[in-house]
Amino acid sequence: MAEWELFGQSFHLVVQAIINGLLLGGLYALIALGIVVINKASGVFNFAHGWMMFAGGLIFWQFYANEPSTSLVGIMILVSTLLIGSAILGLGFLRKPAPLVEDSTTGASQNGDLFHRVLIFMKRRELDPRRTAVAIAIGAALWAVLVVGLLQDSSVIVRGAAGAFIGSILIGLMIERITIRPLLGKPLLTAILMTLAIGFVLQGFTQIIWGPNDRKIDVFTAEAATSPSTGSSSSSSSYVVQIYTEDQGQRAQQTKDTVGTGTAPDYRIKTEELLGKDLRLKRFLVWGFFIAIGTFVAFTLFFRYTTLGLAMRATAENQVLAESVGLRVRLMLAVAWAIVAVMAAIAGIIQGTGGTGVAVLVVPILALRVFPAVLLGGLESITWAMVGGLVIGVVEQLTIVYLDTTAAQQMAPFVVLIIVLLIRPDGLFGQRRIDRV
Amino acid sequence: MKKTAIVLLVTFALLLTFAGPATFASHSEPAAPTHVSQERTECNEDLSGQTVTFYAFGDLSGPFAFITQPLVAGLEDAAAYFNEQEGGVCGAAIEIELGDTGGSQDRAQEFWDEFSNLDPQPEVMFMFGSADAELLRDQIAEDQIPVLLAAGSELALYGETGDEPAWTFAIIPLYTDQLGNFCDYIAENWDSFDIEGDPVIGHLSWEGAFGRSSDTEETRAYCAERGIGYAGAEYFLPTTSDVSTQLDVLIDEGANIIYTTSLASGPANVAAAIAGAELQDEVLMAGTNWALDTSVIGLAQRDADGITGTMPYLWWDELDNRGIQVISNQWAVNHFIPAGDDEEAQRNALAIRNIAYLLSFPVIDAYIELMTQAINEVGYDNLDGQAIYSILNGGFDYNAMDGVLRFRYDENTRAITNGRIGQIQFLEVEGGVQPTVAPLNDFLDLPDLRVGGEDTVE
Amino acid sequence: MRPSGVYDVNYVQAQSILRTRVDWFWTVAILGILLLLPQYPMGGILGIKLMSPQFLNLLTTSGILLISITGLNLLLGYTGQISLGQAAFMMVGAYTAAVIARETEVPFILSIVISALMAGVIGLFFGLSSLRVKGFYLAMATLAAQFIIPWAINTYEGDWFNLGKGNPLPVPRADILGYEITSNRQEYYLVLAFVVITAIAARNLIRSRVGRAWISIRDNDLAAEQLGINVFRYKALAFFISAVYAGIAGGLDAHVSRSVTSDSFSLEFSIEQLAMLVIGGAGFPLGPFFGVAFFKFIDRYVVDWLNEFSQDVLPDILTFLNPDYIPVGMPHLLLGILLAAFLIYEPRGIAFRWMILQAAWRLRPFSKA
Repeated sequence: MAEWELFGQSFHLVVQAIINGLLLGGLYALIALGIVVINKASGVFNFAHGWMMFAGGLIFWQFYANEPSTSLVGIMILVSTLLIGSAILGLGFLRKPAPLVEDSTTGASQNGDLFHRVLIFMKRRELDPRRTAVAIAIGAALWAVLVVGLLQDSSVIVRGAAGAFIGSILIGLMIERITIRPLLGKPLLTAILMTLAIGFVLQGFTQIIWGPNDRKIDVFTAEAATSPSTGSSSSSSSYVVQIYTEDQGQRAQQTKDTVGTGTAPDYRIKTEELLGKDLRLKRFLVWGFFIAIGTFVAFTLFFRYTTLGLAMRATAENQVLAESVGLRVRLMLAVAWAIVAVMAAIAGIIQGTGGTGVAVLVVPILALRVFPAVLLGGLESITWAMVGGLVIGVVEQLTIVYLDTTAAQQMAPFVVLIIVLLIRPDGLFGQRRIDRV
Repeated sequence: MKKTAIVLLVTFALLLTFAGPATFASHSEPAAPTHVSQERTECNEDLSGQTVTFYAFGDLSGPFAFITQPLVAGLEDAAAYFNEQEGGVCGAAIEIELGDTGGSQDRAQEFWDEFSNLDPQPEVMFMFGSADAELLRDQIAEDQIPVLLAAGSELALYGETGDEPAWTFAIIPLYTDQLGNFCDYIAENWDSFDIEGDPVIGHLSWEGAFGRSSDTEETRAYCAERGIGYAGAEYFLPTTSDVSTQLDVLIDEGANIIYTTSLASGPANVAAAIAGAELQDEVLMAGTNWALDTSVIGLAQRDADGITGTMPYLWWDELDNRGIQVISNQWAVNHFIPAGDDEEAQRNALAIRNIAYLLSFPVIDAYIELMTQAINEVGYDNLDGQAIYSILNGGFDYNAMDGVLRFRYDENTRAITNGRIGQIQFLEVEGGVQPTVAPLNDFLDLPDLRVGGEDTVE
Repeated sequence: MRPSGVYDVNYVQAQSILRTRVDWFWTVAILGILLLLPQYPMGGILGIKLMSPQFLNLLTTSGILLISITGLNLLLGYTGQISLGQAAFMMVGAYTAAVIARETEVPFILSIVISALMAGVIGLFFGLSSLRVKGFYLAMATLAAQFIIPWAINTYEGDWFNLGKGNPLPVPRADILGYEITSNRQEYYLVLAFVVITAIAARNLIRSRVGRAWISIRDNDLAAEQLGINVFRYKALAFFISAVYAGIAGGLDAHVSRSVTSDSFSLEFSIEQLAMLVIGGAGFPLGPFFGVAFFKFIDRYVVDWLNEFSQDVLPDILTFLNPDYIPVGMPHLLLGILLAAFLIYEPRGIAFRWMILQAAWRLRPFSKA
């Protein structure tokens, strides 16, 4: 059976490529999801998504692979304080806060019973106490996990994840606050250019801090695969170098670095009898696929069943109308950017566990290849963005088999894109839009 | 509102810079450096108090950063070493002037224009990109500044027809010659690798001028004549995250030697794909000299075990050689902190201990020798690119750093012509593992496989 | 904005490129300076060094960039269509010019014309696929061009050039009617001539029926359609002409740098061109000039200074920073911050500020600015 062929390539190879493509497509779908959510929430097509992935991956690496860096934690605390402070003070922390004495009906406020003062303050700032509590709880939980992770060496993945989530939420909020909010109501073109500018800024910061080197997140090494529970130091061995000094001559010198065990074998599906060879599943793509599906389900539920999700959808539909019925557009925007930054970080981390690690040449450009997937769904539909991701993944891998890699990366996704644009400019499954003068 | 934004932006900028890896190696006091017994030509002039500048430009921050960041450190250390210990060029101190193109060939063009228009014009320059050198080939000859090139690109060295020796001189062998040498070795020693079937090479290399330079008509014919099959070539951009499917295609065509013309993350990527597919025992991974490097070991860890290829120089661990002793000592003194506790700093020091750092010493050594010979020939006041070129073109043979790298050029030779086979190995030693590149045979003259070269098969 | 008291009393005046004597004066003066500047001795007069070969090269490359961005200005600034593929269209022009110069005896000027038309047609193709859509859909189609065109050129293996994929393609020197362009100075004059011609052409387009149609499409395309303007046709025309400009720039670039390679025409270069235009002022005739001058000034002088400064200062304060990494990220960081700042605080760019400044100068001492 092994000699089955499909258009000149062995059947096994084609099946393997399709499976690789579907798995890779899961990652693409996750990226596409992030782009669609931003577009739905704020009507901005986010060209900076790739760089947000890159930054998230690097922050994960920083907490995962290193002694915890106090400076990084310090800056995250500072930025959070700034953001929370600016939010509470109605984003006017340079302004003098207004006196808190006008509400005489409650009686207590005059004398400044602290609890009541806070409540009144929140009321004036239109902060819903319940929702604020949830937000505070999430933040506190993340911080708690991070702190516990910092104290305990064995849970580096959790530590990395908590750090990356906090870091990317902060990045998302900062982007929204500094660059997107001033552009509310400005032309679409300006917003597109702004996301390009954000990309440049993130690129600059990440390069200055982490330099041009690739950072590998070695979660899926052979060592981790065989003994997941034993921690880090038992089976890997010290990196020894020979050095020479004039007084002591040649000698072996143990270093702080270790020699890792290398990549873990892929998962296998026993298909030797059927196809002639086993099918292989890349570990990081399998995990990426399930995480992508999980994220996808979570957000579908969020948009469908929570008030905040519904409000965000309404805001996406028409910002002015949403504002006029009392929805807090700015809050929606902030939440959307924070969520998407986390999604981007997840995608960046998954990519970082693969062959090249969090590489400046690899991660940011991945988002560009996903744009056609987003377009398949017409920039609106989360479901079809998911499907688009899978399609692009399969197309890419099959192109590698039948043509070559360059064609798969530079040509195939964009030919799909052009075809989609020619057939249905609003995306194959997007809503038709009617413009009015 | 706007003020807030400005303040936030500035704070953001300032604060984000806090968030970084603590990567600072504090330098210890230099221990007593060592002296190499040189075949150095005596200098007729005394240039004490003057300076000569060694100009170099190339990709320091783009895809080659892994290789080239250590190169910067290496050139600086080598210049300092030769200035202090060997009196620089006839007593004149060597200064290093570097340009970073970030991988952009437009920048390469700009740097060439800038450096070649300097007054006085540089006598010789150093470059390390195949594509840069190919781009500037004609202009280099026109401006009459010889270039030392850390790349074995045939087009840059011999032109489109293979018989127009350029003003460019490579400090490593042609990639075609390297592959030819590899095929010679495989033809004789295939059994020692213990891999099933007859040897069949499949190329899995970077897209672009560099990656495509190994697989030529000449190398295919040469290897075929030695009974080595050819399974095709797959090229991937450095931006590719996973090359499993490409590997599958080559394996499906029958390849059991995967030869990669790429560096740093390139070979690491290929090695990871092979390890993921559990093919380590069924496939021999091979590559150009850049694949045999600590940068690959650092990225691929144990996946790099067994990568084989042509190596035209001595390796770090051959410490019975005086030149290697000096280089190793310079690295240990300037970058490595044996007693240090800083994990990150040690990791950075290990990253510097690579091919590029190693090669910068023989390059500076050869530069001094070149300059010395040229000064003796025409005098320092008349020194120009033409004078250097005549030395190189008229037969330059120099065993740099006591044999670490042998430079041998003449009117028809533009690249290193000898080499041996090396293999990445992980030695179990006391206290841990010592990754090394071990030589598998002695230095041999490489086959000449440029277009129309002596050893090409009709 | 014109000084008060200058009225157009006939159509000739209304359509003139240079309306007032002051306009004439400045145009002639600047052109004169640009013409004479390269003749200034490199060694300097009386110890004042104005020119260096590097500066001359900077002017030449800026001129090429200017042509391309002028084209982009017609598309983005006047027609309101975004393009992320300008570098790719330059690439088409560059390779066309290279192949013509290598393989044929076609005179130089004609080869530039062919390159321009070639780029125009390819640009039109990618534009057409997106003419029914707006905004980011359009950006997507031009983004596709930025990937597909380099792929196609790199994949081509045939009679015209076959050096192996990704290898730079050498180009002979430009030869105008038997007069060979050899020195940097001659290259400068060649580029200057093209800059002047293309700038005048752009100005001409804007003041004509075409330009007015474009502006109406930019301001409101549905309303423009109601006015009887064929939106489809004029959008297509804008795409075509913008790509023609890119083609001219690419063709010149091939001859001036004397080799072409796909790496020089990256997506990043396209985005940089957009950034330069926005910073300079999209939709103003002077926008591209200001943008290129500003960008090159930052790129050449400010970034270096900032690098040195931060390498000296930052690692002392923030000890974890590796000074080697600072120059790697600084250019991007600076460009990003500048672009963002302009988008927030002055989306109309430097050119608009310049106009305000001019007005203020005229109104002195009663001006506010």
